[in-house]
Amino acid sequence: MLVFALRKVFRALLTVMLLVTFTFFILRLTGDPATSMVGLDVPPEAREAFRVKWGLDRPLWTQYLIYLEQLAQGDFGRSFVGARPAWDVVAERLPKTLSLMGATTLVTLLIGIPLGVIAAVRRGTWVDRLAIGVSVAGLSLPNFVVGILLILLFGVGLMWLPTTGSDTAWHFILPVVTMATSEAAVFARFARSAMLDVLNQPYMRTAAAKGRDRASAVVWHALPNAAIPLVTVVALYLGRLIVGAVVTENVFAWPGVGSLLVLSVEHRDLAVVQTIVILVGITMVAANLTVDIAYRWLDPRTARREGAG
Amino acid sequence: MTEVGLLELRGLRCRFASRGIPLIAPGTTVHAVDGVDLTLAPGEILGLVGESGCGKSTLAKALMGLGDYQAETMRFAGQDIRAPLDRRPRDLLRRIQYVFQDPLDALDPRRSVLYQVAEPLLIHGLASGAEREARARAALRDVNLGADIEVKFPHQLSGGQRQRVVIARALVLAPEVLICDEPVSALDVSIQAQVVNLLRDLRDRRGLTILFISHDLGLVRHLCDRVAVMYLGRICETGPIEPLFERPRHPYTQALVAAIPPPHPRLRKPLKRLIGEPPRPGSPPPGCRFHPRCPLCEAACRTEPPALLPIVGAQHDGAQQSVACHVARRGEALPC
Amino acid sequence: MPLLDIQDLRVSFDTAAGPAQAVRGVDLTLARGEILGVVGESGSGKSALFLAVLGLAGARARVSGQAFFDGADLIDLSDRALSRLRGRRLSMVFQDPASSLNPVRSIGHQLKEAIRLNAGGLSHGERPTPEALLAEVGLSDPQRQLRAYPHELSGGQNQRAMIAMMLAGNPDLLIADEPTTALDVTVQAQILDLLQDISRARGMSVVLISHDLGVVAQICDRIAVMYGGMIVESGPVEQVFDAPAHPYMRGLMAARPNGAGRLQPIGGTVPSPFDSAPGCAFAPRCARRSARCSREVPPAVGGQRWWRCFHPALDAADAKPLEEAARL
Repeated sequence: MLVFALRKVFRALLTVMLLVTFTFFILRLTGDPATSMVGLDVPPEAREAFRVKWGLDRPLWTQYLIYLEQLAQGDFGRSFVGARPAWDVVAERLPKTLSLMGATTLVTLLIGIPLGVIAAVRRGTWVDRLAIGVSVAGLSLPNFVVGILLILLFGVGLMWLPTTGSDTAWHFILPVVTMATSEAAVFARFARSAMLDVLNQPYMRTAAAKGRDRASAVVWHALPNAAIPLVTVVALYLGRLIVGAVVTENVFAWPGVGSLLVLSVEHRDLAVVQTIVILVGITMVAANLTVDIAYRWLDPRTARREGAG
Repeated sequence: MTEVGLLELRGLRCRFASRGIPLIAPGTTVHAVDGVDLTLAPGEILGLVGESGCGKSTLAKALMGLGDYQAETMRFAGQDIRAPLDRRPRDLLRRIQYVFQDPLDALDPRRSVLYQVAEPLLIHGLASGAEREARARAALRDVNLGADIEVKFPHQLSGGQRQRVVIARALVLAPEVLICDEPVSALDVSIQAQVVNLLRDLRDRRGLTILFISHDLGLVRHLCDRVAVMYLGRICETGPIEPLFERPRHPYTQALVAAIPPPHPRLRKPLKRLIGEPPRPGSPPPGCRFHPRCPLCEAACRTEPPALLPIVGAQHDGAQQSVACHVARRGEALPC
Repeated sequence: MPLLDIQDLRVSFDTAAGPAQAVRGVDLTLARGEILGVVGESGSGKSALFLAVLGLAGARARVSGQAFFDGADLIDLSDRALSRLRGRRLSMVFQDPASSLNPVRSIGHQLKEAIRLNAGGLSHGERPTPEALLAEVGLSDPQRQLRAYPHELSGGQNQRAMIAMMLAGNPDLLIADEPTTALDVTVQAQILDLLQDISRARGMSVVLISHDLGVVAQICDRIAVMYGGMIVESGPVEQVFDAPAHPYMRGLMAARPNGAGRLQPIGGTVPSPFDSAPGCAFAPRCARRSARCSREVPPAVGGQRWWRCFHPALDAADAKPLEEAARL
């Protein structure tokens, strides 16, 4: 188990490293921060001074090595805006994004999984068809469309709910509904197909032969087995959630990391963008690692393979 | 085994390697087949029996040139055939053909029977157009399938018909050896007989040499001339069929024969059962591989692997019965 | 009164291609303590029959007829009531022990579940312990096996564990559906011995469903031969093997090696469950058929030993399987 974890961690570090390198070069090759920060209507000397100040005049490789050295010391560089540490800029917005994601996850799981499970157990009935219909709709509507529709309906039309900002609990409703719609649809679909697969397994018949009634057989025998493929979906989900947050935060002017990212890319605020990318990278890698470990915990067939020989 | 074999196999070992982690944990190697000698005389049907995991299918794959195998000798009609499948001469591929357990897996669901039977001729460039079809039709007749079957597709056939199509497809190349791995296990009892009778006829009429791999000892006894019994990657006993079933010498063979269900309720046998479970091939015991389950186990059995050696006086029509057992070899009285 | 009395049971499954008739009118009785072998090839309806009796045939199954178990009609019972009988009065073990056990629960967990469900009401002294049940089915190292997961045990061990689970409620009837088909021959012999021993020790009836005549010959008291969704012949096992009356049973015996020379396959193919032709289902493959055979279904003829055939092979002259088989 330890060896397994070490190997995974090593691979994870390699992934993050590649990500950092890739982002570093792509950002610098696709735009000039001096142009976007200082502007075009100032004398060229001013832009040159900006470049010298931030070390952008040096060869790309030198910049890269300096950046790595800083990173190794826990220094994420400084934002071009106000020269504040990039980490601070990101960190102060992190709670907003995390609370949005947390609320979305809660709603997603509470709606998606029961919906999928019930659809599978009642396969072919109107409940099933309704669940499939809802999840197709949820999947096919992009976040920004759902968001804008919700704003038009509840914000502009009915004026029931606030559409920008994050001050009160009411502010959560529309962004969370926007994001949870498609995520719950994904979970419902996966939960349904995982459950259908499990319900057809011979051990479900064995459970009935033992005297388990249908409902308790679903809870005791089907759910633990269906959870195994669902865990894989969780890592996938996190990726979708991050993308969804970037879009949704911008639609609802939510002051989180997602809107910061878009702003920083526009301005070529290199240090901030890189910090966010590293953060996302580490989150994804950590999620995958957790999934691998959870998988082994849930499924004894993978967990004990080394020992069994 | 002094007779000249059509197919000769000496010191065959087949490995399964499990991946290790560099520098931390070495990978492990399991020998699914570990030193097997086997000879098929021309025109004989040799049965290869043993329980799941004993390596009989791995052995068949090695004969095909598949898997990770090595052998001191692997000869067909005097010619070295140790090369893997993709490096074997085309003519060799033609002369040794294979039939597997599930005919549905072996057939293309979207092609007609006639096309599939003729296809090997096309691949081997052996006949053209009309001639190809004529030979495919002849092969279908050889397996007792009528002309109405030619235009059908696999899903329209019964299990027995499908397996006969598979055999026809092998026969169309006029092979000298047919290797059949559990060819009737997926078929209903009433259908099995078609395929078994067909194999017998092919041997009788054409002198086809057949390796018949099966877990069904009743069928093996019925069909085969000789039998080799495998246990955990090694052959523990071999010999002509009737004498071996009448008087098995290896304790494992005795247990196998005793476990065959009776053909009639009045022939129920007093039960003398083999204890324990067939072990996993992952970690074979030292010495004789059967010793942990053997009622006759002695000290030597735990350390010294017994060699497969002829039993003195157990020769029948030129076929020798051999056993790999220290106790049986000493000629002590064995409970039969 | 027989323990189980099945009357005119019919099972069909709703499919996209219309109803598939798996069981087309079965009458069968089973005495207490008896071991009945039900023999048939794939599609004969032998599994569907007993899945229907236990209410396990699934949502697409349409079941009619009666199955009186200790006086109560199982077909008529509510799902709830039937569920309460399963595991306590009637149990069932299945073909592939590895996939019939829950892969993510330990053997101990699943065994204790069976005890809790089916013997939970008993006092502490009367309730069977997991260790005792495992010992009864011949698993020699209960501590290790209780902790193990199904994938860590062999096929034979899993099948023993499954039998142990089904014994927890001390049922009157155990239905074993091809319990040894996925197992090796030496393990098959062990499991058959075990079923016979348990049946005798507990006075428990066993229905052994199998495609293998040898398996039935080994442990059964009585045999029922199924073909095309009906029982075509039934009786004490020795009598039926001595002189099989139905041409299909005869054909089955001649298709297996029995020391009598060349095997005799049965020509033709098994009937389709979508077929609703009148007459005897075996008629198209039968050498003894007459015009009548394809018009009407032969009625059951005989008493303890009966068959459904207008032209039974009652002449002893061509029935000497025992002498031939004894040569083996």
